[in-house]
Amino acid sequence: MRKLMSVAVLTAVLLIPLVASAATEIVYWDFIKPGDGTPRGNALAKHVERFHAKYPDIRVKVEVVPPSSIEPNLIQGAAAGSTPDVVRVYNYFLPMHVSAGSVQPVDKYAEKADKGDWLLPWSSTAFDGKKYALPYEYRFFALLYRKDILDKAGVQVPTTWDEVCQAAGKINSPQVMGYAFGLSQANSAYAALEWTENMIAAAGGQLFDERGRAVFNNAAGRRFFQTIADLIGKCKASGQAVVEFTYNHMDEGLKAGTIAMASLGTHRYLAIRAGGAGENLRWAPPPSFEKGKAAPVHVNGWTLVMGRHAKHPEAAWKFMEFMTSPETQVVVAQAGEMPTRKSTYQDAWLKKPESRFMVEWSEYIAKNGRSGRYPVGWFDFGQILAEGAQSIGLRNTAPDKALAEVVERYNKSIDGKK
Amino acid sequence: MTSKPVIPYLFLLPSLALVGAIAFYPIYYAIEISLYETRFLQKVAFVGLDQYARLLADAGFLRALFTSLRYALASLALTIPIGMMFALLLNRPIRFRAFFRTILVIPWTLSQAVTAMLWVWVLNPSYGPLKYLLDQAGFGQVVFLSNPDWALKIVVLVNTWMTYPLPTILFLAALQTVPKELYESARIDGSNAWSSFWRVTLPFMQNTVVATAIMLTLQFFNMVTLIYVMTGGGPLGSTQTLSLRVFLDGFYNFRLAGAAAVGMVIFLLNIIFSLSYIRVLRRSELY
Repeated sequence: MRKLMSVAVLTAVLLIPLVASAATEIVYWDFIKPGDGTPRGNALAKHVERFHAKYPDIRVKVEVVPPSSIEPNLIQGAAAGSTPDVVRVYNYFLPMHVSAGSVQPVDKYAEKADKGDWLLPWSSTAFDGKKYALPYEYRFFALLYRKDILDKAGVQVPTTWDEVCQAAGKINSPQVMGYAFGLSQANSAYAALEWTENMIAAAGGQLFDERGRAVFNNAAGRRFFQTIADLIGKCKASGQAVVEFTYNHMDEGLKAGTIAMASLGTHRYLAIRAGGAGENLRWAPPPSFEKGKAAPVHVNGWTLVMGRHAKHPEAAWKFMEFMTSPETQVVVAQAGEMPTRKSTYQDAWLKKPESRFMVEWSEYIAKNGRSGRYPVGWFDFGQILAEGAQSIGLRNTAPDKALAEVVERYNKSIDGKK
Repeated sequence: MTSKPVIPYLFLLPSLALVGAIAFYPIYYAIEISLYETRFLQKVAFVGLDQYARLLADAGFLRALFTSLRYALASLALTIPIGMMFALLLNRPIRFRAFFRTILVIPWTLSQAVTAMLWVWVLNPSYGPLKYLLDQAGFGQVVFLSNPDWALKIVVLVNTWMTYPLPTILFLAALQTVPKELYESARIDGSNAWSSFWRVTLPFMQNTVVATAIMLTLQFFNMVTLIYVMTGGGPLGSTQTLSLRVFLDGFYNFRLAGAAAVGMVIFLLNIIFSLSYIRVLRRSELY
């Protein structure tokens, strides 16, 4: 009997690895570590666990890659003939990856996918008629404000940029900045980029044409650059410190109560509340340039793409589909990120009063959301834009002149590449 | 007739191959890629010295070059004397010497990214501790990293704070090699502390000082992370150095050939610096 038991145990020990290795392993790059204790980390761990339960023959190996390393690593990997199966890529960089050939289209896998159940059109992550990514979460640029500071100053929540100027000018002091925006070149100038793309859209313009050339040296661009000048100069609503502000500066300023209002992505809302602002932090639709008219917003967010040299494309597609399924998107919402599927918003969790803000966001972007155009030189544009905008506050450069220089300098840099 | 021994070279071959692969091949590759037009990581067309010609016509490149020189030389001008000062102090039989030696080395243990984030927080114009102290002192709103006339100076000071422990340790070690009897002789001859330092200590430490200066100059010239995290090269490009430009052009803009060309310029400057220091060393009087 003992001998039989030993043989059974030995057989099991030998067979189990064989069975396990018979499972397909896909590699998934994300900047979040599963189960790291943060809401998104815990959500990712849950996603992977549920995926394994649904597809026992597929194992997901999550490799954590810092967000700033995803682009260079993916492009270098593609050039070397080796990429992960699935990668989390920010929508800004999709055109770059498509152009670099580091991702592959997923049309052949997506034939049976539900193309209508998305907050934005299916084509929003398609290039040259080919679908390259599935949106995993959305965010848009909203006005986040400290209700306690506005109430103390006796100002209403502004709905236009003129009102922002007036209200923030009333609040601004050495201790509290009335309205903060970020013009730093650090952190890839993301704060400046995000603000600019939404402001130009709100002003009725667009940043780039189909060839990726800057085309906002017009009324819309002038309106935006004049707003920068007014906020710093005429209204004194913002301090010179905006020149060094990054996304995190504004996030922390709202938490600490040293900033009264800022335009930030909705994905920071819950984190700022949890980080110290609490119930004092509220959100409002982004201000527009015309009273009574809702401002259009560019909807951004993380997407899932399939690596150019994915070893297991069918398994990879199953993972992508799973992560963006309506059921999984409820978990995404619980972690504080905005779901991308329309049907997710019918879930009971999103009907709760405390989740109301997310439904309001989805309604806002369903009516006013649009996709932006991000050329391959998007990063370079951010550096040039930040420098040009800084000159308004630091060197008193006329807004028109700063705008013309930014557009000319960026378009020249593209020409230099050819 | 004696034949040349081959076996020693055979033993050296593996190490040379490794050094060649790690050091010389990347340099060769960078030179090669700088002679091409590239698209992402692919060579598109051979253009000869076109990339270098574009650099000479680029005002941004020349500005970055001068910023790099100012950053490296200013940091060196502060780090070496401060390192020497602390080394001399720590070489004296003071109380709690071991404790001070440990405390003074702490900045060196922090990475560039952590140092940068720490100082960005300290200097934050909204909620940083320095702002709080200045407010208490009645100074009102003072901005540091937002000021293009000050940003580079601030980064130099932060770099000095982070780096001074290295020369301190190296100089402290070199001080142990100076014969004590020389100080006694100098004292008998009527030398004071300053002339003892200038005529005894420094000449004996000459090699260490020059080697440290070479090492630090190369380090400062090639530094990216500290500047990238603190300012990103701003405001108004006032802190953009050549090495930061290479990093951004190579890894964010994927202008590989342009980045390689700038990298070659940095490489040449590094060689010039190193050879200059060595020349100064050879010309000086040696014990």
